[in-house]
Amino acid sequence: MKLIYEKSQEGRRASSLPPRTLPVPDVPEELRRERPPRLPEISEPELVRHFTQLSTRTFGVDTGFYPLGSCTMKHNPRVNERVVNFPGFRDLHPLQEEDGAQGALELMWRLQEILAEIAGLHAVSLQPAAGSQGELTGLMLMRAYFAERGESDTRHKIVIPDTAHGTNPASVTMAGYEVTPVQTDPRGNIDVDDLRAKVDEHTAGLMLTNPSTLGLFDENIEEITRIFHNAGALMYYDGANLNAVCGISRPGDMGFDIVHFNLHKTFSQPHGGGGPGGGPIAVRDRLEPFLPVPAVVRDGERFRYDYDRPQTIGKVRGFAGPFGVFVRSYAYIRSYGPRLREMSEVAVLNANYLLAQLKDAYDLPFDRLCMHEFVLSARTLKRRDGITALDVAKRLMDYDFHPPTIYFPLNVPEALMIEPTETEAKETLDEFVEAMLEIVRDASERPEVLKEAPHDRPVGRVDEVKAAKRAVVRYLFEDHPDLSADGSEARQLEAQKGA
Amino acid sequence: MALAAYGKERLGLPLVFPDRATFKEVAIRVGRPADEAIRGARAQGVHPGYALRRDYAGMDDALLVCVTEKRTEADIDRLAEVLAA
Repeated sequence: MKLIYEKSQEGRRASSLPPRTLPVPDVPEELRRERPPRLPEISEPELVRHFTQLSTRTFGVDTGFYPLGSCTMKHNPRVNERVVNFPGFRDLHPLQEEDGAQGALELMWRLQEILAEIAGLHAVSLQPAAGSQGELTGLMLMRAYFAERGESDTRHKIVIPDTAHGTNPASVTMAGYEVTPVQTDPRGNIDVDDLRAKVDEHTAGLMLTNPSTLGLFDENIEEITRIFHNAGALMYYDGANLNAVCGISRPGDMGFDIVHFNLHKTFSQPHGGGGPGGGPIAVRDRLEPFLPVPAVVRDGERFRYDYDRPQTIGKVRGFAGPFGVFVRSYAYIRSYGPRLREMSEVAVLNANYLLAQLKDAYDLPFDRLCMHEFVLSARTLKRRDGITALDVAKRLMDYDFHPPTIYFPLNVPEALMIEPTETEAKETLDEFVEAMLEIVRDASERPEVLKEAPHDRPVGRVDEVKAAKRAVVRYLFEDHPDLSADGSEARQLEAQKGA
Repeated sequence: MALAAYGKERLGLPLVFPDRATFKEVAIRVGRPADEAIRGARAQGVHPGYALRRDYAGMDDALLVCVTEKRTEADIDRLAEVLAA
C-alpha cells in the first residue's frame, strides 16, 4: 500500500474554503515561509479511501476479541461518545472563565469524588495524562512528603516486586529514587520474608499492583502494609488492574496511600494507538497538600479551580487534564451507578472461565483462582514441540483474535497473559478457547503452520528489535525529492488563495 | 486572517501592539476591565475573547480576540456591537 505522500499530486485538494470577499492582508516578508509546507495533495475520495484502507489493516476492540493482558481492552459504549459530544463539553475552551464552565467543573468535581470513593482515599487530582505519569506524580508526592518531614536524604529506596509493570521501575528512576526488587513466593504473592529483609529506614515506599500482573490478589496485603507503615514508608497502588476490584475492595482500605487510575482501561476511555489516556491519582489526607494544582473545589453551589496550595508539587499537565476522557469515564461510571461491582465481578468470572478451560492444555505457573486476568506459560510447548509463546500469539491472529500480552511478567517463561474483560460474550470466549486448544494440537501435528503464522495479515513477523529501536514513524523527506522545488512560486500563489 | 483584519478595523478599538503584524488574532484595549467586557458580551450571547490580565500584569483592559474561518463578517459586526454596548 502506498503512503499518502506517494499518492500526492500537485494542486489536488480534498476541500475548499468558502469564497471570501475580504482582502487577505499582506504578511511582512520576514515572517513568510520560503516555500509551502510539504503536505500531501490529494482529492477527497482518494483521501477517504486511503484512511479507510488503513483502518481495515488495523485490529481494534471493535473488530475482534482483544485479550491483551493488563490493558483492559473492553468495549467502549457508544453512548459515551454522544455525551462527550454535547456542545457544552465539546466546544468548551480550556481557558474558559470559571463562571462560564460550571458544568464542566462540576463534572470534574463529581468524578474526583467518585474516584476517591472507589479508591477509599481522601483526595484526587485528575491531572496526570496516563498511568505512567500518575506513577511519576505519585512518586513526586512521596518526595514532597518526606522533604517536609526532613527525611529526603535518608529515604531513597522504592520496593518493587518482580512482577511489576515495566513503567514502575522507570518511574522510580525518573523520580530520582533507587529500585529495590522483591521476589514472588510460590503462591504468586510477594515473598514477605524477602520483603522484611529489604524494608528499613531508607525505604520511601512500595509500588504494587494488586491484583498483580499474574492476575493474583496478594493474600498477604495486610502484612505487607504493616511492614511499610511500621517503617514510616508509603504505599503506592498501580491501578492498571483496578478492573478486578471495583466495588469489591478498595486500595485505601488495604493500606495504600497513593493510587493511580487508568481511565482508559477501567473506565472505558477508548485507547490504543497512543491515547489519549487519563491517569488521575487519589491520596490519603496527609498527602493532599502536595497534590498538583489546580484542584477543582466546590464552594456551596459554585465550582472553581483552587491554586492556593502552598505545598503543591505544581502542575503536571497542561490545563486541567484530558477533559474528554473525564466526560467519557464519568458517563461510564454513572451508567453502572451502584452496580459498578458487577463490572469487576463479570471481568473476574470471564477470566476464570477461560482459565478453567485452558489450564490443562498450557502450563499454569500459579494454580489459583485468578482475578480479571491470568498468566499461562508455553514452556512445555516449547520444550516438546519447539513452539514458543510468540508462535501461539501469531497463530491466534489467523483466528482473528488479538494476541494476549506475551513474555510478561518476566518471572514466567514463555508467558501468555490473558485478560478477557467483562464485555465479551460466552460464545466469543468459547471460540477463543477452541483456537487455543487447536494451537496445542497443531503444535505436535503440524508445527510449521504455527511457525509461519500469521498467514493472511499485511505484516507477518516484523524485526521486533529494529521496530523498537529504529522505528520510522514519519515520512523521510530527506530521502525523497521535494516536489515543490520546481514552480514553488506558483504553488505559493495557490496557497495564498487557499488562505 | 482576512476576517481578523476586518475585525481589527471594524471593532474600532485601540490595538495593544499597533505596530506589529497580526494574523488570526489581535489584542485590543476595551477601555474598561476586560473581565467586565467579557461578562457584558456573554450576557448577550457572544464570547468576545481572552482577558490578557490573566497572564500579564498591567493589561487589565486588554482583550485578545481570535477569529477562525468558522466566523462571518456578520459575526464580527455583532461582536463590535456588543463590545460597544
